Amino acid sequence: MRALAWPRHAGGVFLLFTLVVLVAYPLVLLAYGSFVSDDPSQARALTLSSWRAAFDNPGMASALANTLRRSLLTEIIALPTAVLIAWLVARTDMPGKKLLDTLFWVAFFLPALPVLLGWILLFDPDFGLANQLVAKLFGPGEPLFNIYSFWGIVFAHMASRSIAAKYIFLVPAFRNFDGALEEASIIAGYGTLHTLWRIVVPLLVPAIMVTAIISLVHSLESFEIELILGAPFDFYVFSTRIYRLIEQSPPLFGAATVLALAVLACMLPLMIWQQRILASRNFTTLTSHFKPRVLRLGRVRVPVFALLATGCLVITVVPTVCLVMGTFMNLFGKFDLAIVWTTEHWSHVFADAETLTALRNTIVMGLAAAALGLVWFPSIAYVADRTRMPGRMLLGLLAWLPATLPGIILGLGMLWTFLSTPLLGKLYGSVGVLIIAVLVAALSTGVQLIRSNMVQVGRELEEASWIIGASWMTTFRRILLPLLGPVLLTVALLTFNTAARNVAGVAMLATASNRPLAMLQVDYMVDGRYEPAAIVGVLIVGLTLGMVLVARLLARRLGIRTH
Amino acid sequence: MDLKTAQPLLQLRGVSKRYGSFAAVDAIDLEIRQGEVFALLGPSGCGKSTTLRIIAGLEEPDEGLIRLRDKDIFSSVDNVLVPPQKRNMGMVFQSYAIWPHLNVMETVAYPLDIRRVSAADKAERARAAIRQVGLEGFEDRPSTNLSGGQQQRVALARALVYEPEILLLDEPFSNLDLRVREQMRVELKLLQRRLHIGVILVTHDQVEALTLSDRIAVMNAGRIEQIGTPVELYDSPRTAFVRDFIGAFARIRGVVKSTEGDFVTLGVANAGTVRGRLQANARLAPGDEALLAIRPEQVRLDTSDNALEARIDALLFTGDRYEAVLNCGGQRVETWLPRTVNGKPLREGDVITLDLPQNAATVWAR
Repeated sequence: MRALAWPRHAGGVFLLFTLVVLVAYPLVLLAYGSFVSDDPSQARALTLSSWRAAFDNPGMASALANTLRRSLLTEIIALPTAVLIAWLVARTDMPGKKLLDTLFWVAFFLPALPVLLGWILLFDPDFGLANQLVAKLFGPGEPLFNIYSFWGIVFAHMASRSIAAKYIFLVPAFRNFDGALEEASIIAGYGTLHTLWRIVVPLLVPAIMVTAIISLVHSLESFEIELILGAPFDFYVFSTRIYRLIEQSPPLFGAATVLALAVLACMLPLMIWQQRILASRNFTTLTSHFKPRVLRLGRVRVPVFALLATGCLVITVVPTVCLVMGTFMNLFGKFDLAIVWTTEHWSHVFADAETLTALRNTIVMGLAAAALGLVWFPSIAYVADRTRMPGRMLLGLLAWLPATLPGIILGLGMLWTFLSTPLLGKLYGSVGVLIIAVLVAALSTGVQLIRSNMVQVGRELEEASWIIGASWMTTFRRILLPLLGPVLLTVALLTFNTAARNVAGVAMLATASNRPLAMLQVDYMVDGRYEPAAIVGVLIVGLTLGMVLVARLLARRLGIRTH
Repeated sequence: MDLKTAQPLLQLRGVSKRYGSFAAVDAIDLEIRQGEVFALLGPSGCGKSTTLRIIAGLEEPDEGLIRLRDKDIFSSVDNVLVPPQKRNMGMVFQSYAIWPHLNVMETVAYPLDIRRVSAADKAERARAAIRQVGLEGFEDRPSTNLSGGQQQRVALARALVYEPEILLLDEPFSNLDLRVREQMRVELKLLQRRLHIGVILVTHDQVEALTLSDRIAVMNAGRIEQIGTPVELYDSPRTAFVRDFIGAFARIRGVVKSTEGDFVTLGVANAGTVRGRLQANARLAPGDEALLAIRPEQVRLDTSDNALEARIDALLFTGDRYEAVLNCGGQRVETWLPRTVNGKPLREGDVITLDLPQNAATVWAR
């Protein structure tokens, strides 16, 4: 029987092969490459020169220290904030919870890079609106706000995903928590605060820990905010340092690779810890059909809402409005010119082949990656969870790996793969390369989402179809896929949005010919051309939020319940 | 002890709870006495759980009065609302609400922390409560490692350890499998008889209510249909809802031919005539459509004082008897039949004489 197992699992073996080539092989190449040469396109003898060069490079240690300092500080502020907000929304009678929830989702979906331009318009030390306002009120002096600073970077993180993502992670945990657990304590004679401290908080510790670790990993790998805000004051984190080493002329592949490996080594314990927490599934409190107990806030109800709503608007509407405003300004941030407003940039940009090509590249990338992902991700999830194929554990592990790998390192590994593998090398410079990069970037989330939903679709539903005589393929197509409809729609949406907004994963692989919008915006911003950068940013925001709307409409049309 | 003269422990007067225009609990009056088990029985959505949560203080009613002994714990007139933590009641939740981060001992001792009990005393009382529910030896186990029945015992010990005035049970057995459920029922009744504590039990399971309770209130659509002892409810249901909700009835439709005092004679199409006792609050005149209801265990085949002819369509064997589907002049009648009649086994297709003793049969308006 064993001998028959492999042909029966031909599809699964093929999937495993794709993961090995696209996820494992680049990492192996990275490790191997650090001992070889400075240029992956040319084979040379084994050498330690890269390692020596890396350790002599003065920026390395500070890049690692900066990464840690920036991430930990952001997390320490963002996590308690998110816990408090999630608790307020899920378990109190604060008004306007729906609105706040929607705004946090908008903040989550807003791409970081375009939003940055909004912050720059507000907080630039020279022309920032907030600084001008302060100067008007209190007289001229040193600018109060400077977005190009350590705290500016921390702020940009909080305002983009840092709080919103944690909130989105935590709210279900707070919401699904059986209210009877609290009520039992209250019946036993305790007040709200004692119950919160002795019962609620201890029970939510697992969920909070998971959130903390996942977001720390995400925070460590951040790239574009530091790229734009850090470079002007010579602040580098490891990801921007790696990018810099590759972008400079001549590129230092070896040093970049060594730095990537060093980071991976540092992150390894964190990755293992994250995997163990996720595997142990310590979510006993998260499975309940009971309504949560709603705490009456009393007089602070409205003030608390007002505070939160202001915060939400500040991180969503304000930067977006600034961004759009920036596209119509004669000179970005200059309000004291004779002619402040113009539509000229828009007409320029649409006459410009660069922008149109980038727009086309992004759309092609997004649609192709979403379509391929819809085949690739569910197949991996199915083989990992529903078959007995030998090696399915490895399949699951490889599919999870990219989530913990910083995008820039993944990109570097792929660059090695494309440059040193003759067959794949033909793809280099085409949109195909970026489609693969986006697929790998979206892989972990996609597979994980589908797997957690597939668990809820009972095996019997499938077996009932087999018994009737339907083939495996028919059953997968007619039973499983429709039942997974909502999650597949979400996964397609996330994949498309990854294509539209992802910078770290594609930065290494983009060239002039296949450059997507996000990279075009980076290039404009690095060149200081803020006006076209803002227009490209508006296009990215339009694409991502537009896709969310399309998905919701589609869901309603198809009668699918969205999450 | 005579329950009828016992001092009322808890009184509810005109208690209502509305969600928008929907009245979950509609002006109900209840009186629970010291030392009795009182059941709130009804289908899901009838307001019984809301009533219990109102008593516990977990829901605030819109109007009415609730009095614990001689103290108002809720009054919409005087604007009194004693919070749940000050009511000194014990409660076992349907989900048991077992805290996953505490072990058995910690869980049971938890309510004592606030009650100024010395550490030694606390451990002693917690142990006693654990012993009471038969969980000695499990003190150091994490509560979530226990079976459903054991978790329920933990929840019970936690509710009893501080000697509450009233014990509230919200569908306490619905998550247990049948055998554990029967065992827990017996143990709970023994424990209650020993502690002589007032218990309010919410259940949708009539067997649970009948076996455990001293008195039962049957609820429907936020109102109380009937309050009485299990025997009263079983023998003389006052409304059609109570009749259909508690126990089984064999039911035969007919038309009133004549009434003589408490008795009514019914004509059953193609099957003959039968007599039955007029149901207490029914008004019937000749020509009215009516329904004759009789407990299936009262139906006899060996006599024919008040009989109808019927054919057996199906026999469902249940061990000590058959559940039978009969064809009685074209209408379908479901009842129980003995395994043999005069030493002869019954077969599907047999035509039988169904005797419905007239004192056991009641006639209802339709």
